[in-house]
Amino acid sequence: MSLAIESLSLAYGNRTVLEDVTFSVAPGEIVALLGPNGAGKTTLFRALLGAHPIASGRILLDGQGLAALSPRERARRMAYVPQIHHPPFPFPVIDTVALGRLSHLGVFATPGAVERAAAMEALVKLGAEHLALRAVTDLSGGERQRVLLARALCQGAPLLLLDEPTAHLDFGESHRALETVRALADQGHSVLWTSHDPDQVLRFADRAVLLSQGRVRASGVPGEVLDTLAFSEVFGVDAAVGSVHLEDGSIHRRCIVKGSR
Amino acid sequence: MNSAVHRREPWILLGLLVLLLAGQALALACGRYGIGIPRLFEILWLRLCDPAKLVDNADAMVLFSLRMPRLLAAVLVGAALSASGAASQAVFRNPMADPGLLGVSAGAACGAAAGILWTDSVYMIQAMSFAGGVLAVLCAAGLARSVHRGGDSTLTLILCGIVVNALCTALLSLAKYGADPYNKLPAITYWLMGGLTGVNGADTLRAAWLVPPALLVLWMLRGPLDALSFGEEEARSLGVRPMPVRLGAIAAGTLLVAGAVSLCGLVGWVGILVPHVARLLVGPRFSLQLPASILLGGLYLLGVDTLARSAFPLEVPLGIVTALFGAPTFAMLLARGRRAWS
Repeated sequence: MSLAIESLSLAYGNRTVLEDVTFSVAPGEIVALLGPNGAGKTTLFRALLGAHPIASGRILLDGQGLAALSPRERARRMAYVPQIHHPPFPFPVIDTVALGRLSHLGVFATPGAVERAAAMEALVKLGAEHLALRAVTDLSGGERQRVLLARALCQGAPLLLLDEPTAHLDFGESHRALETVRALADQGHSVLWTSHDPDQVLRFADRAVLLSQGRVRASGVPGEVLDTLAFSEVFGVDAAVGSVHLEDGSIHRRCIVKGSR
Repeated sequence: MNSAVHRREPWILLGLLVLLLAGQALALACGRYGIGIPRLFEILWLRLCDPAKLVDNADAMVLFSLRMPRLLAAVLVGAALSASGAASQAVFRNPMADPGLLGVSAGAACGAAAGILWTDSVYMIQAMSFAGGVLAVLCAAGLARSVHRGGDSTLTLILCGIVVNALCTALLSLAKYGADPYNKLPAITYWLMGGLTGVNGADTLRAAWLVPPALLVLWMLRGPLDALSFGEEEARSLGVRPMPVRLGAIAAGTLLVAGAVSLCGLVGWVGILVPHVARLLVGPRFSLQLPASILLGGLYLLGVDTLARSAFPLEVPLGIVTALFGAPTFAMLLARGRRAWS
């Protein structure tokens, strides 16, 4: 599934929060959305979810206008992994994941044994089957992220939207979560991912889009986007991309902050 | 592994159903006019096979024209309040949400007070109370619609509910202040304490016809409500339209509570306590929590009403007993390690 955003503008009343934004996500590709808080990332995601009206421009899924799709049709094409939050009720993990099948069922139906089997399959795929009977409220951040990814997988949607998937995760959990995302992309999923961590973007994304004050300031290969003057300006730092040579001979690209502007 | 999930819950529901049926038999036999279980079944048997023998029978009179309507009313009110509580906890994503959050109980109390001031007809009082409850929620929803400027629509709705609740409370005080202190004021006060004393079959049936369709609506929304309890955006991403689901659940819950309050006055603590206990028993999935709340709510109110009319030398208003019973039970649940929320 390819996502194309064409000259998209979004507004809250008279205040424009996104102006003339154009970029796309191809199948098998991870595109990272970078930008300071208030750049318009959250509003863009809300528009993708159909929760915010489009002022002008288009959002296309495989060439088809998003606005023409019903919420259920959209859910079958596009799954969303929210930022980690604390759910209010102790739903069992397996039922949480099975909710991913809702858009495939009748409007007044609820997931049953068949959907729980699909949920189990998704959990097994992400190596989280041991969590199936736990309550979502009892999980660690990394475990909960894995469960939400499993739900997105269970949803059967080829496009994944990840809203800061590593926020509130520790060092190891973050890395493992993104490895899973990378593996899903390699299997053909398209991924749009918002991130605050340049190093993670360098390591895992195929392309990066830099958003600031509602406009695209730079886009392209992560190593180049992070090395632009725009990137330093947007974040108010003096940043550069460099290579780290480790003693074992491996070379890693890192974003280095040399100072603030 | 998969089959191990939800193997226990159907048995718990069945157990609750059996308890409810047994409780009904016990409630029919119990009371200051003692009938006893054997005599109860004898009368029921005669009613089916040889009704002529029951003409002018005092036991049968008590059973069929006093206890049965009251029993039915208690079960209906308990089920309605609990189902509505379960729905509002899911809609507002809050285990502390009370079905009266949007003003339905306060509005119904207001309507009943106005009805008592204007007329002596039980039918009119019931109708005005029902209308008052529905009107209050419509006001809260309309207000929320007109003041909402983006952001958290649930929060706007709750705040508008607080406004409507405050207004209704003020109007209720006004009605009490203006009421004739020798007959109208006590009538309002007793009505507000809540109770099923003097409820007859016709009153019960008037409120009862609403219950099955409202419960059916809630049942149909069980899947979307589960999604919605994870938050509006997640629900959307799962293909659920939040607004129609919310409106449907709130409308059904409002009709249930308005019907219950118009029948028996303010009976607090049922709509918040019972869904809690139901969640502890069968978990938070609405498809299990709703039937568990209905059965448990019916059982709870039946038990409390039976207690209220038979355990004390003087019949105690139902609302007082539910609060005396409910509040400490709730505190006990809070103190327990295993919680139905987090």
